[in-house]
Amino acid sequence: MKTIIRYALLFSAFSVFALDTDTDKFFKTNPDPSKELPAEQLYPRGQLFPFSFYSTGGGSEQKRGELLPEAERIADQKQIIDAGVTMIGPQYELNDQIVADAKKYKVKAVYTIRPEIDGQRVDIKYLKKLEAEKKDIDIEKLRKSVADIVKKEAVNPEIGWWDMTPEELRFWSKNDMLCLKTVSETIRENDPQKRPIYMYEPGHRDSKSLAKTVVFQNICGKGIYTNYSSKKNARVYCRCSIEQEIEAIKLSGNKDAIPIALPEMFQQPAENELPLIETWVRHDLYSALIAGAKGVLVFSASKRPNFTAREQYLKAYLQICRELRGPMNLGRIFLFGERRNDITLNVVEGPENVELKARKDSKLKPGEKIETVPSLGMANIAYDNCRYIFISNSSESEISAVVDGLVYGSGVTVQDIFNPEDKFTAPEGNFNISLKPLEIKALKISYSK
Amino acid sequence: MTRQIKLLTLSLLLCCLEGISSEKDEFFKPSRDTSVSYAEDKVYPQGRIFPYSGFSPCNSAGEKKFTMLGPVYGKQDKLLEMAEKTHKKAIYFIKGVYKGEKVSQKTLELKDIDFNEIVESIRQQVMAVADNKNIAWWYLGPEELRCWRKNEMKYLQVAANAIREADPLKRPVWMYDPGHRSAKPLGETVKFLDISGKGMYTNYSGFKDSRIFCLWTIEQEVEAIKNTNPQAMPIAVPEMFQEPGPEEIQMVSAWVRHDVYSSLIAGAKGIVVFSFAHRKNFKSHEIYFQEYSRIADELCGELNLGQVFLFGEKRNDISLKITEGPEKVSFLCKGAGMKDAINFPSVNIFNAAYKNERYLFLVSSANLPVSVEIKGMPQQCVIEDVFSKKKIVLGGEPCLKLVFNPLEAKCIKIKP
Repeated sequence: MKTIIRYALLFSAFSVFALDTDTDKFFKTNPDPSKELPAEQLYPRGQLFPFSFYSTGGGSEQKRGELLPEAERIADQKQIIDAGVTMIGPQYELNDQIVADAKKYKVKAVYTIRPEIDGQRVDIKYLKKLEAEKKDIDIEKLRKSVADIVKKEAVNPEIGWWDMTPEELRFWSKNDMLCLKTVSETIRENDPQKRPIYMYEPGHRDSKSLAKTVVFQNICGKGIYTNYSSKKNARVYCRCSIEQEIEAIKLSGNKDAIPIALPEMFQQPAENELPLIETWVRHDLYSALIAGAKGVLVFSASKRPNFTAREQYLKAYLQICRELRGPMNLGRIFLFGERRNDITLNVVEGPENVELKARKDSKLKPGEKIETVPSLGMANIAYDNCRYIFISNSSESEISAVVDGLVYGSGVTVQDIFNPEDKFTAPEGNFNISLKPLEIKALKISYSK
Repeated sequence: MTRQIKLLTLSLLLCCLEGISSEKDEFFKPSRDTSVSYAEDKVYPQGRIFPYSGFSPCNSAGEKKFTMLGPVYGKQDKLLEMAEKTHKKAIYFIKGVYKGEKVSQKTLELKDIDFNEIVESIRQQVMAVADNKNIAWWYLGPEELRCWRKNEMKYLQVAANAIREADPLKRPVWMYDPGHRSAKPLGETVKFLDISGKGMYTNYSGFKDSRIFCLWTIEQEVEAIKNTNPQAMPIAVPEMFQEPGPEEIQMVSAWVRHDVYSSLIAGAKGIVVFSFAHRKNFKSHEIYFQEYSRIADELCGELNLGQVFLFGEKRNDISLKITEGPEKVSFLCKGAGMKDAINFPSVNIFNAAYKNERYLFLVSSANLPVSVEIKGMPQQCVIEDVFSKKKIVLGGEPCLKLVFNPLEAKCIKIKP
């Protein structure tokens, strides 16, 4: 007996190893901030995930500038609406009927402001002419034109965002910046609902230049036209573009502005590339969302001559729209989830980095430096007491990686969101995954007691 | 004439018996006893004692047939004291110290680490106890060092080397790897170690109904060792920390026996249970502990079956055919990066000659009953079911028919 007691005392000195199993701390989330926002309004003023196509129901396969017969236009619009888009537009040639269409389809409109001065459309051509003539833009006339439009349209609750034109105003041009400032201020002054203002920025703008214009906007959106911008083989461009928008917002001090993605749908790929369209679209859009985009404006749904791949592109975008807005409701996670940084992604096989610029040959020019960024992008988002991990492989190689930093516990379960049957337990802090070239993975990590 | 016929019959009979006898001689040809070159009082691989231990030993571990104690995460001096008193060996925990703090994975995220300082701290820890012959193995922390972290691998390398350099007895070094590691990442750690031992926590890892995980586990270790450090040895680290559902408690015995024996069949050369500690909400501790203790009796007690696993000569003259029940069980560990399931036979076998006897260890990993036929043993031999202690009498044909309950482990001893 004495021996037993002696042993008992001795063994009680051994501490029991405690695994890091604070699952509550790992999975617990704050109350969903969307609850305080109206359900029927667009983000950032409401809960709706902004997803739209430029020129919904616009264009023609025959000739640029031609409109579709009404039945075809309605069919095109319906196809898009049925997938769950929350907006239509900007609509360009269909802008005059956007409010009526939005009302009919019970969606919001991105209404385009097209100011005029002395009967002339204020567009880039107009501004360039002023520049050539060393004249200043007539601020008062511009203000009046914009005020008239906004006063007339602001009563329409269908309008979700204002789209400013001319687009692509140049931060280095005095008149352009005056125009931007004036239009923006005038919209704000005349819209009692203070709806967000957006202007399209070209894809090659960097964060510093975007910062100069986003001061006057609520939405920062530059083109991420990967193929069109010669980034077909450097698609990490999408992630980097959104990172630039976020940086621009930060630099501008306009912290309430939101970054959005403007992916491409207008250029016909080569015949042998057609099978890649779905992969391209999923990569480009999800890698933008992973980087922090809070909305999507696809450019564009317009039908065009010599663009037979449109239907394939459209199908791929509408599939993602359903994922963001349908039963999976991933849009809510991207909008209202809490971004965390306690999970790491480590490449164990495949390229760790990819080049930002696609180069035609592997030889470097004298003095040329290769700029590289990580091949994998990841969003680690806590939402509704679960953890969501979105991963993009922006390389053209298969990559094996380890997702590390999870809490320990036999109830830690990993589920592939796009393939819910694919589910497994990850009890010891990390797990391996592999991604095909340009693949997107969406994983839900939950805990069951 | 009658006499001629009688002589002919007799000679034929003798020929026949001679044939049987030579077949039998071949089958029971004694194995070379390699254990004689191992020290009697040391634990494998330095000695012939079968390594069987448990992390954080509970009160009664010292009274059972376990051959080692530890690792423990607390006071190492108490472990050594206990080992001394219970005449067991110890697995001693070593962890580097850097800038006054014990090294953790967090420490190894620092830049420009002075590894010399860590090496010195390890050297001192080892030298302080190096003359204690009860220490059988060194256990290196922090555990679960990750092969994709450069500093962690550097630490593993320098720390393991520091232990070896400071230990005049050159005792083996082990670090725990998590259960979902496959052969490739295990190879990255075992190349610096002497023992490969990853978690084989079947229930905890979601493989409660796919217990072939144990066989897969040891196969990964064996493969890792083969590829990167053929001198190292694989061990099994089975589970004892998670409370099963009330309706599952009756399964604990079958689970434990299946997991341990299937790992030994696959090639494990030692068992370290995680863990013998009493835990909150772990009421089944005693049930688990009793079963692991029972296996300790079998492996390290009178039956001494551990010696068969360590020093038995592997033979391949027995065939096994599944006659009823599932022939295959499939396995998929997605956390290890496996894309497709792989199939294993539902019943696996370890056929070894030990001294002048033959041992067949058989484990069914199926969740349904399985019937098998075993052939290849000579006529007129004595067959015993070791665990039930029952003698088996074969019919005219030397064919052994066995029925396995779900997850059952059997040991068949064949004697001349």
